[in-house]
Amino acid sequence: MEHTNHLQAIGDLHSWHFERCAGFQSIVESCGWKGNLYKKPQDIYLHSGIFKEIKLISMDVQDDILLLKSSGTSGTNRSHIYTDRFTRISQQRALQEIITKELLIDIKDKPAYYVIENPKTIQGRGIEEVGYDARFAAIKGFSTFGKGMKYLLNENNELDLNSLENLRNERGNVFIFGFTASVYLYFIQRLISLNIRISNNDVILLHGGGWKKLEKYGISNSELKKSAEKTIPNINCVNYYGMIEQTGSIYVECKEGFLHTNNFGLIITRNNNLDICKYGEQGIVQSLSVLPKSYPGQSVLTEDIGIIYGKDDCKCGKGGLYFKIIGRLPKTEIKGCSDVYY
Amino acid sequence: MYITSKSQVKEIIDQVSEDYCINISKRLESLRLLSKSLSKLSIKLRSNELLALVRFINEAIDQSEEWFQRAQNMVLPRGSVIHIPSSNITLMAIYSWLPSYIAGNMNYIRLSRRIDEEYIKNVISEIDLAIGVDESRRQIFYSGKVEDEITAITSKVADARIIWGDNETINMIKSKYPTNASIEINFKTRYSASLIDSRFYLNSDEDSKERLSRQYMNDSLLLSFNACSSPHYTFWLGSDSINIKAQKDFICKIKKLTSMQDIATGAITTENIRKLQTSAAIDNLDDKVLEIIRGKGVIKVSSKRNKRLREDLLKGFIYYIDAKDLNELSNIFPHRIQTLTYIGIINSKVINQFLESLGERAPDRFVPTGEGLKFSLCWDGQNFLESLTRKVCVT
Repeated sequence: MEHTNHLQAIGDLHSWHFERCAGFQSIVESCGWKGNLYKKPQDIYLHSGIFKEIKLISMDVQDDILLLKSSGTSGTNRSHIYTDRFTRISQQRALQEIITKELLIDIKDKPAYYVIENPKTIQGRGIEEVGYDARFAAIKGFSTFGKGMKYLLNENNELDLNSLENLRNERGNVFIFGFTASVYLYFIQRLISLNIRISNNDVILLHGGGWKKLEKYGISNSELKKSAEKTIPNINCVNYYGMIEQTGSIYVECKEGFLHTNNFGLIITRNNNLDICKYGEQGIVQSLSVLPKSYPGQSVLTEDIGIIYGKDDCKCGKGGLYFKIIGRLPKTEIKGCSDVYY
Repeated sequence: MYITSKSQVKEIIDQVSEDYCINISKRLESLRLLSKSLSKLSIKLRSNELLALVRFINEAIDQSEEWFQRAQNMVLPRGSVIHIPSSNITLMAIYSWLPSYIAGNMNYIRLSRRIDEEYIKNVISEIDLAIGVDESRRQIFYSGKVEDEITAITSKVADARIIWGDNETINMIKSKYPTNASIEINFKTRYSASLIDSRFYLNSDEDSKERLSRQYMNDSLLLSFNACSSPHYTFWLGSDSINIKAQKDFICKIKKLTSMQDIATGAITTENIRKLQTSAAIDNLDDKVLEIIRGKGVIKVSSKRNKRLREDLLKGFIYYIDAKDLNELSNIFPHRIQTLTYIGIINSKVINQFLESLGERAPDRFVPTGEGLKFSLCWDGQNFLESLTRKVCVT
């Protein structure tokens, strides 16, 4: 996999948004990055928080917008992402290519789809006129890869025993999706405590986000996998990394436990001075996606810390950069005179 | 004394007499003991912050002795004082408390939830030992789940209140916790600046240049510029070519220091870039960013332009302002500068002439780079000993 293709596509997207999005144009010009649009496209990025502050949109016709909102767990503001039909279709196609390739899901013979979620928490979060919440968007997005969606939790975040029974009686393959903390706390842990084993079928469990919640329990990705295997022996438990600003181009974990870049997304890590890190060094994660055309989300500087270990030489045999997300930047370091009330 | 419950503070308010107050010589004696014990603790904890506090205590003892002598014992404590310190400096609570203790007041000090509780508890234990049991019941540090209630109770009974914050925080505290205090000291939003003699900097050897860059970093709180006394504006004195050369070298040194692997402070970088990009997208900027240092945009401005510097942009940017000399600089020098740190301006006559030429725009403090955050009994133009005591006037 060549990065030059990614960077060329990112350069084209920079130029597209520069011409259409006044906010993006102001940022690029003010930061002195105009000369980098094609020359060094990797050195142009928007901080993820900016989507919480201002409306960034690159569409002329605005009657086909679907607004995506982040879940807003880290603060009060939520990111606002404006997607048009074209962007949504290309993001869905990318997701399909990644998921079918990485998880070997046959789209023509879809597995049964289960979601580790309390249906009440996403109630009213998927109204087209108001916008989709990130949680709802993810559940809906992954529903393409399964059939007959069922929720595994009830309104009290307890196991829904009817759905669980259905799951245990499934004859074919099963695809389960959930957010990492819910997967561990409300599903795996409960199955273990109730001494329930699900062993009649092959299960793909895809989970992402929400590591922050698990940090206080001291649960790592490998521990989560081990716990899952205890109770579901035929499980393929896979973590992914993605963000609402770059729906579709997610990064999926390989069997060696590394996340991999793909045809649609690229990762860069940067040090405290925003210079690019070497392989093996911890850095602030920048994610590039070749998909967003209705909003300038093609290059996002996150608040996640990650390490890129190398390129094309992961033991799993897959190409691309392979990396790990190791946490979030600690908020406590930002302290000012206005921080009296924390 | 460190307390965490509402009942403890109520009991103290009921039982402790505000009239009780040990005399100034005993108070200063207890601070000498405190200085010694904190000095040992600083070695044990390897804490530079504690060492700086020890230096402040020693200086405060000397200055206070002199001040009380001049006042000829005709000054009395205000009574009780509530302190609401900011959390940008870990030991801010102690810095705020100390002048008020010297003044003889009973104190309630709110501790921020964002500071290291164990660390501050160590310091408070040393304070309790140094000042004794009775006096420690008059020096109340509090935090915990009931801090809101304690702040409300103590705000009502206090004779003076000190709030360290920005304008927004101060307004919030004032509306949430009404007070009848006769004195309220609010440290509202202020900005600071640095003055660099470009030729002096360029003529310094490499070690000195590195030291100066490090001191500038220290003043800027690792370039977060989140303290009122951090240098938000940097004035460069010299010809255009000399200034450009000095800035290039200085930026290079700063970048070298910030690129070191210390990802724990990476949030400063991302927060800076978020502010910069938000400003760039919302505000109509006349000036372009020259460099981005740790996410902060450097905007270069000539002192020849006849336009005010925009304070609203300071959160995302650092202004670099070139000036041929101090005369030229005085034309553009902004209002309300709290601290002016300097590199290389050592002639006191020149300094005094410059400060005089600024008139009411003169900063509150003029100190060498590296001492921007160094606290003193006189802050923001306010002498704490005067503000926190009352004078007996005999006619």
